[in-house]
Amino acid sequence: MLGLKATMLVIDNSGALIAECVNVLKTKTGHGMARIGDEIVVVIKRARPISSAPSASSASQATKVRRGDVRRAVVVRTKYPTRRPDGRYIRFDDNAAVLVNSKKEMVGNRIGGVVAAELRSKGWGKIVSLAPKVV
Amino acid sequence: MNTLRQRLAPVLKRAYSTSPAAYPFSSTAASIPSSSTPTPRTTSLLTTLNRHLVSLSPLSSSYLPLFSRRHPSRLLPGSVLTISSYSTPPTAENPTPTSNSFSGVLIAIRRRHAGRDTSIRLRNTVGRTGVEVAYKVFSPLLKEIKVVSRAAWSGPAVVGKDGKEGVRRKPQLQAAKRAKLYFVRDQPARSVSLRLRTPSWTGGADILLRNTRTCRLVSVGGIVKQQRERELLAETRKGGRR
Repeated sequence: MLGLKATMLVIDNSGALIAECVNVLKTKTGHGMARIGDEIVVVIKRARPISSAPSASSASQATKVRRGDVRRAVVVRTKYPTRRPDGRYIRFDDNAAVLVNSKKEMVGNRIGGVVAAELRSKGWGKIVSLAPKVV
Repeated sequence: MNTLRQRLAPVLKRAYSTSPAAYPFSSTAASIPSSSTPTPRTTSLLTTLNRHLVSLSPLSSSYLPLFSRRHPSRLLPGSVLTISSYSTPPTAENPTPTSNSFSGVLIAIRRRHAGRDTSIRLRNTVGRTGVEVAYKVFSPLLKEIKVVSRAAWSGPAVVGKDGKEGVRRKPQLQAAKRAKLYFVRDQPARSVSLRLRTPSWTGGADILLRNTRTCRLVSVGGIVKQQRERELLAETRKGGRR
């Protein structure tokens, strides 16, 4: 349940560390909060420092994100419990998201952390396949 | 006075009978299927119904004592469990669909409606994030609840050579002093129940905890792994004896 001003960790290798939600895109629900698998618009609040040396742009990284950037992201973990169809509820200890562009492609190319399995059913198979662990 | 119970008595009587047309008010309504062991009837209609619904679950007879309030062998919060659940409901065509499992510390047991809505919370650290999963115990999608390590208040009794019982050993996994361990979210070091002491009888099986004298803080993963290794060792020992 991430709405305006909600902060979350960014768990891909795009360079961003903490993002703040600014807008929740096309949720059909009335409350307008983002759940797992929803796309949101975020402002990067903290990012890794970008070194200007050419060796920094290695094969593992294409785009580097700066503090203050406005980007899109997909929510992958929420502290608010999500209900699974069999009646299970899953709750993570923090909120996390993965940066994405307007074409629904990931900005980073690696994910460092657990993601929720809801992403698969919401159409983010790429994220699920890159995640080291899916719960 | 014509109570609800008196009015429904013929319905209830017929519901537990084997006759096909049990419902007197409609010919198309289906009757409650009578189970092989009829549910004992209590004074409350809803309690009887809830107990009947619980008995419909296949493993209910083994789970009811585990999660009851006062049963002597009930699970105490702080125990480590592994639960495997199906991703889709098992049907006649596909009785065992794909399942996934989750291990964790039991931090809460929620009991409602004569056991029908029993749900348990397991907590574990996956990666570096804490994850809590709440399972419905009597859900048909729950495949198996495996008790990896049972938390207890006191450990095995120490009986001397003369038959005298000494002071009981400390338990392998200390039970929590609370029913709900939500404080563990802020104090993760106190979750896996706290301290794990290896009793000396495990011998060479405690590969992870070498020093049997000191307490060590162990993770859920460590406890599950240790239990698995213990089982493997027991199996190889059995195989050797054969």
